[in-house]
Amino acid sequence: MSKPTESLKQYWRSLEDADGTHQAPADEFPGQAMTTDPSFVPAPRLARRKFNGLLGASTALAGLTTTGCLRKPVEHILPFAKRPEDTIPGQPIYYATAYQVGHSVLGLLVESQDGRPTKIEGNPRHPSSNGATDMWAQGSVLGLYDPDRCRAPHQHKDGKHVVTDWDTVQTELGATIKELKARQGEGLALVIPTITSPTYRDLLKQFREKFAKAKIISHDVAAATNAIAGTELLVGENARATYHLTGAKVIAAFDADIFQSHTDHVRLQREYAEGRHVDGPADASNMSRLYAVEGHFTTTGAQADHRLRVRSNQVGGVLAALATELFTVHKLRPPPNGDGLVDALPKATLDDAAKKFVSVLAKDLVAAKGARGTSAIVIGERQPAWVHALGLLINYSLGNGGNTVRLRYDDTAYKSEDLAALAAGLSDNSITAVICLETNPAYDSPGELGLAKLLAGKVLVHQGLHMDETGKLATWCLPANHYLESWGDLEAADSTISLVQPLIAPLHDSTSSLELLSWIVFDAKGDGYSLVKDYWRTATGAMWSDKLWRRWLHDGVVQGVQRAGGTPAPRDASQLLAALKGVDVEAGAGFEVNFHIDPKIADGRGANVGWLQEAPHPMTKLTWDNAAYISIETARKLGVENCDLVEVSVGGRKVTAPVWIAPGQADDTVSLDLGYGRQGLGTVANGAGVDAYALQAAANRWFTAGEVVKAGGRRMIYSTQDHGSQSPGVDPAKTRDERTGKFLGPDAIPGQENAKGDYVGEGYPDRPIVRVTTVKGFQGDDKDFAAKGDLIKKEELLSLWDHNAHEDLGAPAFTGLQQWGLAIDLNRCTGCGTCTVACQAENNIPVVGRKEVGNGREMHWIRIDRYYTGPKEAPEAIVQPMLCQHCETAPCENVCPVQATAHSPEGLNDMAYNRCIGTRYCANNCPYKVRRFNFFNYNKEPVNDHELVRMQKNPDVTVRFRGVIEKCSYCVQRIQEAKIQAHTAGEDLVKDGALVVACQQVCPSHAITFGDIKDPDSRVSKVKANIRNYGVLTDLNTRPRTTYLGRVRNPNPELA
Amino acid sequence: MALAHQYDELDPISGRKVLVEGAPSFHEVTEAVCNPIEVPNSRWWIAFLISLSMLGVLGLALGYLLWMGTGIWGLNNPVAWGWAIVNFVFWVGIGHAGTLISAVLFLFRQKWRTSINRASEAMTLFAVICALLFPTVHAGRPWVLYWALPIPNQMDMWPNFRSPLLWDVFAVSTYFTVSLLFWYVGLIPDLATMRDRAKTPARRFAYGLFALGWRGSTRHWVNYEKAYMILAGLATPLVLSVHTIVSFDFAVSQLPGWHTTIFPPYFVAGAIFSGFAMVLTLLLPLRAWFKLEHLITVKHLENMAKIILLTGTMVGYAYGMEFFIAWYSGNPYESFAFANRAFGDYWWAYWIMVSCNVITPQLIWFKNIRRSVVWLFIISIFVNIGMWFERFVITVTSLHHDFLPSSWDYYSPTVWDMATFLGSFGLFFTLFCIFVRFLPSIAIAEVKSVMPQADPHHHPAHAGGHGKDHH
Repeated sequence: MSKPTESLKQYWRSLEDADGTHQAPADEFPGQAMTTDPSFVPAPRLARRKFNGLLGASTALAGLTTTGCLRKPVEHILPFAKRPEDTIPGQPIYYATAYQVGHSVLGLLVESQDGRPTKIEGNPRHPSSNGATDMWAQGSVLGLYDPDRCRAPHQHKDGKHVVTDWDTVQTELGATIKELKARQGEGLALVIPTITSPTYRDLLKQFREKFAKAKIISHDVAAATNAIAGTELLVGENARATYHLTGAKVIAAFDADIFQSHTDHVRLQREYAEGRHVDGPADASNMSRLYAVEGHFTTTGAQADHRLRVRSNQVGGVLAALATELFTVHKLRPPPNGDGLVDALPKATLDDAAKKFVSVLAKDLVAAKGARGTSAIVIGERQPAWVHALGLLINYSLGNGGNTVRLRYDDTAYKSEDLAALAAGLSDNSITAVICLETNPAYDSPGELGLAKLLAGKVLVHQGLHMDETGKLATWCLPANHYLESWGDLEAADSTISLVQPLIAPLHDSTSSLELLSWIVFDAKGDGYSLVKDYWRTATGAMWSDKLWRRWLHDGVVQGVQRAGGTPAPRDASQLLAALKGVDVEAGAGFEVNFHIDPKIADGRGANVGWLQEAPHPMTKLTWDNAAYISIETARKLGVENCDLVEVSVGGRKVTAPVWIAPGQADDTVSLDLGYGRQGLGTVANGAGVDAYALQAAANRWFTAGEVVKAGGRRMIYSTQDHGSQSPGVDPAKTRDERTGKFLGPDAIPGQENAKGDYVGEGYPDRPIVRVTTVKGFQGDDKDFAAKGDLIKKEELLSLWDHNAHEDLGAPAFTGLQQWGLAIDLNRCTGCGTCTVACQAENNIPVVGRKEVGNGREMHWIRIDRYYTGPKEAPEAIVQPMLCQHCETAPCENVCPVQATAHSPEGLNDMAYNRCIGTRYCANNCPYKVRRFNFFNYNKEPVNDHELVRMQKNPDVTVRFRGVIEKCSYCVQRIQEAKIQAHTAGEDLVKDGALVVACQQVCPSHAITFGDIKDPDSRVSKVKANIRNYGVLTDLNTRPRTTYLGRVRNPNPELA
Repeated sequence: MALAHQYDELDPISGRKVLVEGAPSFHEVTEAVCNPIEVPNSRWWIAFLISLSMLGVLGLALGYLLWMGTGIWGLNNPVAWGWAIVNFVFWVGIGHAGTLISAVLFLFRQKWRTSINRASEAMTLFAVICALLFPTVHAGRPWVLYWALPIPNQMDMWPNFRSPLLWDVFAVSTYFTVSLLFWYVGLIPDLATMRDRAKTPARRFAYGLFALGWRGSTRHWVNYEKAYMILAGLATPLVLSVHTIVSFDFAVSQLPGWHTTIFPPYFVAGAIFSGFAMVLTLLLPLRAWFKLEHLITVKHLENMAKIILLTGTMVGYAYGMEFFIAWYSGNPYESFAFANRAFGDYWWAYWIMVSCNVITPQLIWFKNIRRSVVWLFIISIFVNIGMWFERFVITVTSLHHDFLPSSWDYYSPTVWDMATFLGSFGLFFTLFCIFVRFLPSIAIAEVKSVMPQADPHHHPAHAGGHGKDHH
């Protein structure tokens, strides 16, 4: 990785630096120059002996300190000569801002440590985040410090890109733009991502005026394009639909990855989790029921009580069958002008299981109809517009309109065209200049369009965080601000508006795309702050005041803005009827190739973020790679095993990818995650995975017919859970009857008796790690299912320590005023994995890289264990976050020869890194295997130790060195901080709720509760008092402080 | 296959088998042992140079290890102990036979020990040195390993006396110290012999220094025998304690497959088993190359073989009992751990272990085989391999699949694991080569004490005509 001309000084530009609130080192002691200026030192008078003595001593000391100098280089720190007001060094400050992926907007609170943004949290005031975030937002802070970012404007000259400056850009590029403007933008295409910013949209209006003949192309892989098209199909122009799962009793997800990539997934996850909340058998009936119809096993499918495994193009067919069932059997009132609807619906050939699924689901939906619709049919973005429209129609027929599905008009929507128009324009030369603002069509456009070739030589301007694939084609490649460096505003899908405020001055010589576009439009460089503020001053008119503005900045949410409105409703089904013509929902003979937004790196925007690359895929646990996910049956047919290469081809375009056998994948389909296979983007992204965009078809970019053949050869890809293991989770053939202990045959189905009358339990009958029951069981004889899993009853557990009353030799005495404990509700956890990345960000956990993950040495302190259960082809899955359990009688502690790990009086299993000598005995003796060892000096690897990356480190947490063990500390730094705050406030105890740990804070499901278990009224005590509470492996008498609430599934008795 | 003669010479007085064949005189015994030390031997040079180059491999492997960290080995998250610990236990086990032969057999008045105890004790010391190497370098930060020692310090930081690793530090270091003393005390009369035979001043000085002024007076002998007896008494419990405590490293943990009460006796039996096998591996070439067949006789070999058979069978019993308990306990984790050993990912290692440790030694039931040098050498090699695999099976199979299936992984060594292990053999053989080159590898004085001439009832005329026709 070569570093261009930028010097170290440039990186350290911070807000304070820009404000001039700290001073250069030369002026540090202005009045005392005399004492440091050598010319003022009086001539020393030294006796010979004294001189010799000093000479000897200094030589000896120099010798002594040589080793010290080698290990600890001299580093200059700059103290605040004048401390800025309200700044307490070492005390983090939180600023509200917002973050966008596609149409999902998250309100954020960003932690700033002495001017450096270090950690992203959700803004509790923002309805889309409600205090939580997703994995992408967590990783975005590392993206800010990405060393591979484009750092200066580049100009393409004589066949290569050379660094230039903004003055040159202004004069030379300015001249070109003036020419374009003179031609009213003829031949110009502006390619922009999803714009929900009111200021930006206003600017686009101006752009339209100045460049009337230019095309505006919208290009955003993560955008809700199909969902919007479907809504507009049924409701009319500019109509937008949002899903709200609060109160939904029956949820049917049609190819909708509600918890990972769906618009507003953070909010939906929370609403879903609330619907799964169970206190005890009494309220278990209130639990929602989730049905999923999908071809690729997602976390939504894993949560589902019933999952139908079909090909993606059959999903619409299943929905059509459901609509037919509802409108004919259940006599649901058809929508206006929808008389011919039932006849027009495509008739899919469904097998018996699917037919039963549909009829049971229809019954359940109708039952939930009631006075106020309490069901929701959620359609995933991957499905074409007609499926969205049909889903919306059913939702409204079921009375969900205004409840779980809400419509609104996007009154500031702008007109734009899609990539096909760009490709057509480029082919017929009607487009000759392309400006790509934070878009990368040369990479992430469907391969069928061939944009990478078409764009060559025609990209006038590319602005982005990296010099990416499009940037390399551009005449002018301009660096973009990261959102944490920019001013802006964002409107969420539910029309909540937030302001985006910068946490730090731009680290590099970059500008925001808003500023660049403003310059293009007005030919005068406007700064983002004025652009946003002026927009709102104008928009709010008389309401405006500086106080209001400050309030908005503080809260992160803009309030009191009048919206132009109207209440949209599905009024006309005729367009839908037209769209239904010629729809194909049959399985077909060949392969179906599916593309997915990656749960980890999204559409590729997180590709150069180490945390996201190393985060395990929520279902397959793959890291650093995507793969061709295929079913077990398909693998058998192709004769391939994990890591074998296959050639996937669509319309003659071919990609060779390693296979990963994914249980639950529909047969004869292959799923590829997008965003991988980057070359020349950055050290992290390069070489990770294969580029699936190349395969995408133009008409339907999410799934298409294709072919898969064995290619020969292997590429090793690594999963953090199934290291070296082909068999995913439970093999019923090797599972024993819970009651008799007999091994069952290969035909055994969990939850059912086989021919011989043996019963297969769910999960690991032999290993009661995850404890699951059904609502029926929970309300019946399985009420204490959580306790039933204990191999030894609690009262029969005898401890070696208890008999000994000696304070050093007996059971540990917990003398602390507060005793910390944590509980995880498996009913709420969806396994999205955001906590893993949040923990990594909070606790300075190093990225170890692809090879080391392959060696089984990932460092995550909290991992999500995923277990499959049921038939191998179409299993159910359950997830369980696993972190240090902070056992009261911790097996790790008494085996450490140097007492590097010991108990605190408050019940924490503390780790003294400095004392650890690295015998790893504790790791062996940990039954939960949560201890992580620094096999190498990971924190000195460039990916963790670059001078930019170092700025992200949390100053409250030690950066660990080679040869020591580390593990979850229950965020001890946050506990100490909370205690200090309580002490300052004159309190003895930390108030319940004043202290949240990183994984708890970020969890969209609120699955994690942390607090004082000594206080019976604390939230965590109340959670732990739940009848579903159990500890993992308590039979070992570890007495874990982390406990779990067993999961209650809510299967439909008719489908069981 | 060349089989040795089937019948031993009998001692004319006691009627028991003679311990020194060919009825040499005392002087002839001294010559037989000392000559190889004093006259350069080309075979020795070959062995030494090979050993030294293997030692170089060790230096390279350790240098790279200290530079990079333990990540160069094949360790991973569930398998935090790999070859290093396997090798540690392997070498400690080998270090068992020496003290057993010299101390326990001494206390039981087993006179046949005299011709093999010196070399076995040396083997013990060198094996323990090799063993100590591994826990040292396997630590993540070996430069602060001294924190595991109870050294008073200003921070009042003490090691954790509950940790079996700490007990290990004490057990192995005590064992090493006592073994070294015992070996050295036994060497004193022979060092004096070497001093008296020395032809150069340097040798005379060196041997003389360590001979502590031994003149062979009766008073010297009285003190010597007392000291030797006391040290034998001290060393005897250590034979049992060292491997018991090494087994605690495993047994005290709660890991299925480690957490078993059978480990102490099982480990001690296994250690004696492997130790005797290694003694055979070393002595069989030594007695041939240094022409000591009449001192280390086939009867000696046969006795050692019998001990191998006994301890091998005990180890086999332990293997079986582990499975029985795993089933009988009803503990699902325990039963899985053992099923996994025999039929899981590492089934091959388990069956190598069983074949080498349980099946191979059963050949010793056959007299022809246990008296055959070639057969014994082959069996000893098999036992060495089997006992290494036993430690591998215990360490790795228990770790790689433990409680939570989510963290299961597969462990395989890297080239650096192998280089370190190979290098430890280099260290061992280099030390052993140096030993046989400079010190009498047979306890001359002790052997003389079990010859017929040493018996007060001995009649030289009788002995003179005895045995000559056999050779």
